[in-house]
Amino acid sequence: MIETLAAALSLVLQPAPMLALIAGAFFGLFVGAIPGLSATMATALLVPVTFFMPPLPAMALIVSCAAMAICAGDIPATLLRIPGTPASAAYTDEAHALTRKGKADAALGALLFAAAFGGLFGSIVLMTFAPVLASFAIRFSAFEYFWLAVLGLSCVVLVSGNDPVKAAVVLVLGIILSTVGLDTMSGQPRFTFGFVELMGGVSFIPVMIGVFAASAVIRAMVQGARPPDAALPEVRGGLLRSIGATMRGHPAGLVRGSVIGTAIGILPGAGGDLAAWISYAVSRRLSRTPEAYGTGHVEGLVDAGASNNAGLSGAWVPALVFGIPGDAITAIALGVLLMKGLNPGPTLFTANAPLLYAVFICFLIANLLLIPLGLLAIRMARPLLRVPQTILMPVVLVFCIVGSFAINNSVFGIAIMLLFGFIGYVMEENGFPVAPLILGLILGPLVERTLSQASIMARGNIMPFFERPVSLVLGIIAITVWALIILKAVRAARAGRPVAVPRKEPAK
Amino acid sequence: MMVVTRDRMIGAALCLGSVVLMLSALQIRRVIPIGIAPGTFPLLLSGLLGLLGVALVLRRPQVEPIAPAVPVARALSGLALYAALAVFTYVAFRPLGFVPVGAICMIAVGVRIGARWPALLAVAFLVPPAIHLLFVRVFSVPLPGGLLSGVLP
Repeated sequence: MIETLAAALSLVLQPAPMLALIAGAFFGLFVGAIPGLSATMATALLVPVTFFMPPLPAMALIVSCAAMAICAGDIPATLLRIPGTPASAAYTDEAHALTRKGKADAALGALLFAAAFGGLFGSIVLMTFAPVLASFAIRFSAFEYFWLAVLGLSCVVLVSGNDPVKAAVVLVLGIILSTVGLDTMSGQPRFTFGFVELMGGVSFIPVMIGVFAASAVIRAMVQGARPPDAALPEVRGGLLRSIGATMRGHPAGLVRGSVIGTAIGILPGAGGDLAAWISYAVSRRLSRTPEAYGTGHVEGLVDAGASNNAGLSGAWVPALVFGIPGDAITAIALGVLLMKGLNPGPTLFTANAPLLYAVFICFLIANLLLIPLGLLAIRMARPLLRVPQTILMPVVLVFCIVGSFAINNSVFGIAIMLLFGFIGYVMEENGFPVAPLILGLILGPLVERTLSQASIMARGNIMPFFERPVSLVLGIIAITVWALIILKAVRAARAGRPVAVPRKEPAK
Repeated sequence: MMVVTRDRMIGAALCLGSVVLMLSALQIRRVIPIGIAPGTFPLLLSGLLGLLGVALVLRRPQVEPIAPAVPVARALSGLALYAALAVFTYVAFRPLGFVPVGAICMIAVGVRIGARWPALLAVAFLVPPAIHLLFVRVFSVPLPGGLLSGVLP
């Protein structure tokens, strides 16, 4: 163990991974702080760059970008009441209420420290819990993996928004998309419709860039760009004092938020934003001063802020151990791992242990970097928030074009990206969540492969799917989750009525 | 009388799409007689998509967002411009090259969303060549030079 950690440390303490960590953090800081550009978009736009990097710097870039983007999203949430990323939405009103009281430094300092604490907590859980889980998972057969993949997909539907039918539609579309191309077992073309370019399948990268980034460009072209904010409140000194006060005054909230965040992050499809909402609600319920919530109260910010970044780290547990991503960002990172020839799963913990532990160390460093770079970001907030979308969106489009071309040096990649940009826009405008599309695209092959292997092992009999103890438990949980989904859909359908409500900002 | 909503229209489109996919899945031949046939999983998924489409059509209308404040003409013109840019990029990317196509796309989008000309022109003339240099020199991606292949490194 010590030897593995030493080897991992020597891998990380090289110029390339360290530079990647810092570059990713700066990119995440810039994208996360600008309203309308999300952490998922930041990660998606970085994938084409990672294609040309060795595995460790590539993962370092993704990890630090995601952590910093989530944290930087708190800046516009606090100063402008516009969440920079959806993960900040849970406590935007609370943070902005503090700004209105002239205490923006207290809100930003608390959120920054809570994010770093939550991220470190989640990373430590990941480092200790994932290898234990992997040593257990090494005995899993195709039956267990099949149920795990089904369970992962089911959870995505259960927690994606209020409409399980729409989430299921998007998920099924994602899995169908994953079947396009030559079948790996038989070599038969499926859903290629005569296009030679589709024989190799649909690469998830152009799809992901399209639905997360190009769709934002379309939205700006249709609805107009958001004007830069003229009146930005000043953040005076006192950030360090606020960090100290958070550390001393809210230790229970920090731990509680981190535990909830990590636990929810592990649940596939949930992600940091759901974790933040739940943590905020739990914090309010357990608080001695619940009446102060909503009026600018640091206590709620601490729980939810810690939960946010802890959820991001927690999402990596199922991704690395089972190859089942916890959220859209982890799904993207999983794609990068696969692209680098590192197949996630329990064997990764034995076959590539130093590299994996090096990635864990990158998590720790990325979360430690949050404090100095976050302080820098808060100081630079005014110019960052004034960058006009009218200039940003054309730049985003050009990055989308070059990124989707660079994967296979193919113009067809650009066509796929542009098409899915439109599909992503239409989906969001009609209340269909886009994250299940990516999760379906990535998990689809796992479901089909394990189903095929399991059916060969079972010789057409359904009982072996429930005969092994773990398989039985997972199967029962998966079936229960589907029963809950159907119940939720039926209830939603019965409660439905043709009422017009104001359009919400689409989830990014 | 069934009220026509956007969800129901999408549901109907999904049903139609699922029929096309099912017909396509039925044509996938089985060549190895072990495991599940290559067409089975796609067939199952297509059927599931159709069922979900039916669910969208038949369920009671859900709370739907009101139409956006954007006038229909503006929304359609924005989408039409995007479609035109998509076709232009697909067709012209190799013959014209990345830098001119990137600059044209930037200018078109920028003008559409109300960018100021001096800033837009500066960015459109600086960003694509900078990206070209980065990808060609650092990442060794052969971005097409097109019209500027003699000028660009």
